[in-house]
Amino acid sequence: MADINFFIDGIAVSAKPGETILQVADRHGIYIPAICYSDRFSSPIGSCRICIVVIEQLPEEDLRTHSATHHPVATGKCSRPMPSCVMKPKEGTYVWTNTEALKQARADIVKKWNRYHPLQCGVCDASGECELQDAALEFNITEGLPQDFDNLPQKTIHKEWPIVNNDTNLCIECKRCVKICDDVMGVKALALIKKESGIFEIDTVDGKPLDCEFCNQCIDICPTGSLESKLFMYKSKAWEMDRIVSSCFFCPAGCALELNVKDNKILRVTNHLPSFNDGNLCNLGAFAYDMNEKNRTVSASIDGRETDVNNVINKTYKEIKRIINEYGSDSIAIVCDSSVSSESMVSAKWFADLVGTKTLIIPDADGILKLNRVLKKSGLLKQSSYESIKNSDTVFVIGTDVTNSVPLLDWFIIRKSKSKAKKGKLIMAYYRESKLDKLKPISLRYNLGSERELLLLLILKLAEGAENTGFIKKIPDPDALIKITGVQEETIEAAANQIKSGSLSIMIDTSLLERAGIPELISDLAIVSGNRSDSIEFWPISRKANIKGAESILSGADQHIDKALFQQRLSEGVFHAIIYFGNAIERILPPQITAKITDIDLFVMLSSYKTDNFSAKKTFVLPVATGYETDSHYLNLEGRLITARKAVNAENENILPVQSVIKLLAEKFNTIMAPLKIDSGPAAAITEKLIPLDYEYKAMEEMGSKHYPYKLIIGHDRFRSDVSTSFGSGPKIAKSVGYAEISDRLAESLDLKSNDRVRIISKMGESETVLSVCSGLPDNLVIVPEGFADINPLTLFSSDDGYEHVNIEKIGGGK
Amino acid sequence: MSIESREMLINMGPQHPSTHGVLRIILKLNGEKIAASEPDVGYLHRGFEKLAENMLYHQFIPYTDRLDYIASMNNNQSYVIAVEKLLGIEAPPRAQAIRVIMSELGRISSHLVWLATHALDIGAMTVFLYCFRERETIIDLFEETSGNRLNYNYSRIGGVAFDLPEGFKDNLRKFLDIFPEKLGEYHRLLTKNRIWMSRTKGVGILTREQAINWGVSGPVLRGSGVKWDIRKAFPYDGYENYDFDIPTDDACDVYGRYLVRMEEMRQSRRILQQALKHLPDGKVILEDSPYVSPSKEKIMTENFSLMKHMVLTIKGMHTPIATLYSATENPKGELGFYIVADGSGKPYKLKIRAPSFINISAMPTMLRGNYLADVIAVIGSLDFVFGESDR
Repeated sequence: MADINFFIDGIAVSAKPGETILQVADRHGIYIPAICYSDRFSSPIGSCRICIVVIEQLPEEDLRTHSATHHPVATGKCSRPMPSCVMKPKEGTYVWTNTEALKQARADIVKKWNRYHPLQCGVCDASGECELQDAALEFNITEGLPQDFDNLPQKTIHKEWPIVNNDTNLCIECKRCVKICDDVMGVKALALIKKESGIFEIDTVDGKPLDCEFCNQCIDICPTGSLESKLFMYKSKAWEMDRIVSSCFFCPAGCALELNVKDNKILRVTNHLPSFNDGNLCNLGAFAYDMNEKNRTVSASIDGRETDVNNVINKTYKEIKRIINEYGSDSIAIVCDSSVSSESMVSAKWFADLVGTKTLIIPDADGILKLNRVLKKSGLLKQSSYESIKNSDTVFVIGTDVTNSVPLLDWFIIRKSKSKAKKGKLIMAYYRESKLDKLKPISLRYNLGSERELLLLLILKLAEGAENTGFIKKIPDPDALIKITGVQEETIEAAANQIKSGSLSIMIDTSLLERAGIPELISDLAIVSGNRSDSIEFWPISRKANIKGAESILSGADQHIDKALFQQRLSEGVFHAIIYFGNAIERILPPQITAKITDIDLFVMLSSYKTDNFSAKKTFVLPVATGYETDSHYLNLEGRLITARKAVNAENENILPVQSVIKLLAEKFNTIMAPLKIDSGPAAAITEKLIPLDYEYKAMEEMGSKHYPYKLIIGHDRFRSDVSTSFGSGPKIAKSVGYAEISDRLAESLDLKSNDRVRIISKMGESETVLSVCSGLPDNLVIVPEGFADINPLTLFSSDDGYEHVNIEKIGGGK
Repeated sequence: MSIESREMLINMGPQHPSTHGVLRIILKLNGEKIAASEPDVGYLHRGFEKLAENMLYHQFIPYTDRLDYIASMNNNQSYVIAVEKLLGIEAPPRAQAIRVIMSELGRISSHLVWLATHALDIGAMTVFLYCFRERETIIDLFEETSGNRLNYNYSRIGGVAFDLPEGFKDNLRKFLDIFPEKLGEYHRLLTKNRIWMSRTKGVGILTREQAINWGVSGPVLRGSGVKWDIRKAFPYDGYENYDFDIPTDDACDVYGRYLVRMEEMRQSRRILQQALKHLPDGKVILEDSPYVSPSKEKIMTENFSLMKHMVLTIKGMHTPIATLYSATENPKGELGFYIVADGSGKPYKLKIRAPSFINISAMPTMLRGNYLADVIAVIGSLDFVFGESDR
């Protein structure tokens, strides 16, 4: 379609097909006021009518004689006012944005909003950034509508909602909150509802107190103070805070955000920056900002006794020196959490080189590293970009709920389905119901543990015949595979057809990648889909913020060993000292490993948070700064280096950035630490030749037992990532305890209800928690989320298969 | 003992009672005569121009008080007129007339301080006491009006802060009635005084050409015979409606500048009389303007007025994207504001053309060939204030 040429305020402009008048004006730098419009939405709302324009259609002969500048004001007959956010331009028309009548009409609209607006700018949180205030000045409102003081309408103030305070008296009914909740977040919690008295109010769809993702989006986008954060209310005025542009480091998406700081305290998080996340944030990004205030290690300590940092560094040096002399440098292991900054990881690697150890472990990076190696072999390794998700024809999600792991990807997928082009289809392969099922994807609801079989089936369907599948040894019987997976053959066929149809984004859980064969199968699937390497993207999905940083640091290093080998060497007694970069080691390593660590001579911990009484024979603790207290870097999922900028000072001078601690330690070794070099790593070249990898199928044996009839799975929760987020007040209010989820049918058979306290028992031990009954879950499954302070599902695990056989028991009455 | 015949460098100031602030002059002396001189300014620099970039247009008004603190009213007026021109608005007639009254009173008060200190420096103690007596009356008038005695902060963008208080007109009239007599007193003390004449006549010559080339303004320019007054050339606040003369003197010396200022006080009285006679009724500040905060009553009762007030005090007004230079005739000379507006509530750049600074720069020309003792007379005749010069 050709461009449409027309005039706005006498200026010749051209519209691309599909553009509205407001978008064209914006692109040409012509100002049209608008309140309900936001380019974060897939379509305009058209409710505020501030963006009205008039359109003048000149007769043909006039058009020829009129030049663009020869037409300063509307002269002919104009249309009635039309909202420019909705209207598409027509060829050769004249659009007028600011006639006297329009000014009057806009002022009238603002007057209507103002009619019963409370006189509380002085105490309102939105004051200073309120769009209604701005409108009062912009349209120079000098008189109000008559007020009936005897019958002032009293609207509801929803004080009972968690986190969100909804004072509908302040609302101007622009419906931006409704739109963002539905259109961007796909939650649809809010609606403009007609009350019994006949007035409209923003309320929850079901009328119950708000129970949603608590993502801050409605608060952030509210033009007035109608929706406000309870965590921020009355704490500060908008103009008193410094806005520090930073990045979120609670998941590997790395969304941009602004930290609002006053008196060395982060008071809230806002985001109006142009960035890949379009200003969107999730609960963690928006509300976990006070996580650096609670449960912190604020001083260095030796075996629980507080002491001076230099003293600990001195002793650490002496101990390490002694252990190296006695057992050699390989007896030292460096362990690093994958949610810490790149500074920590580079420091860890640098320190490993310094002491000469060959053991550097980043436990959660095993999966992503395996995928990295496999893709290097098959020629598919490349850097993904968020932009390509928007353009890909198929998004294939397997073994993960991206909503809970990386919400940003969830928004991208929702945006794809809401956009008018409706480009791309989602294939959701997951063992349970998830939020994305609302988008009506091709749903492959497989039995837990049959991921290999599902991938094999898809490969066989795509390869169409045994001659193309030479790389798969011992091709199993498809019917048997279908039985194991529990997915209908037609659905698999539909999925295979969709995968074939064009470019592909594969999102796969990193813990799934740790299992034998899965990385190879994923790579093979991509190859048989018929795509070239430039139209395939792999997204290893994890809850750990710097999983990509771990990949970048370890993919070239020879020190890294995986969890299994680490465990084996531990039990052989190879290690005498472990230096740990990260928080709460018992939450990232299973108990069979951590139990061994407690027997070790020296355990040095560079942590920001206190742990749950974890100690070795000698435990040295060195406090380090969090991402809010020092400039730190993370690699996000698309391999972009993001900066979390320092927003506040640490509580005391003991708390140092991790690289400074290592620098002090290095000085004892008579070594000067060079400034850290942190980069996004070399970009992988796109290769033309793709090599399918050999895979030999072996059926897994089901190991169920009478005593432990159910499978326990570690769930990701959208309100927690690593342990630090459990100290943020927002996530805590949104979800206070880690509920164990079971299906409704299982609950019925065991006579359990939601909120019952239950005991989960495995071979390794038992753990107590509260139950939540939900639908759309397989009947033999118990899901316990990680990251909650009250329960650590890892302690129940005996193997690395991804699930554990357990039993559930009810204790006492309901809570 | 041998006699030194070389030229000698001496420092005058910066702490010297007769330098009217913190001025340092490096003097090269040939015996008692001045061969060359170099004024060194900047001791009172407070960075006003930079400060202005970080505050709303309204917030800068009190800072202008601290420019020429002897004539704060005139500075207020000069700045708000610049901003009003930028916004394309004009204060109501009554506000304009009040601003004329205040600026002319300010001019008389400033000239009284000049005369007092100038005469004191040269040795005429009595004049000082008399001048401060009359100045006190003016300051009382200012105090009645604005509540302050030195830094008034009275003008507002779009008008003035408050209307004139009750009885102001009578008090002003009383002052205007007695002032000619007092002016005569000063004349009798100085104008024909032989000591005064010998200390000021032929001293500190600045010829007409030199004055124009140095860019001096105000009484210093007029004392060199140039008939130039911004009130006449580019009238503001309705000065075109007042009948007054521009006094000049062709003597080009300290005495000439003395006569010009003495006459200016008389002319100011004339303007004041006319202003009093024709003081219009009405509002003293623009109402319903998007650049002016609504009145307190409205803010407390109308939500849209409260909203406008909040935005004006938090984000400031929406200015056009423009650059503008506006100047007014202050007691010291041409006070100009050059504003670069970027559309936001704060100026992108605000340059102040301070008359004192430019007048000081002409001093070496005036001093060359004069005696060391004449430096005091020349300083007095230039009548500068360092709040303005150093900014």
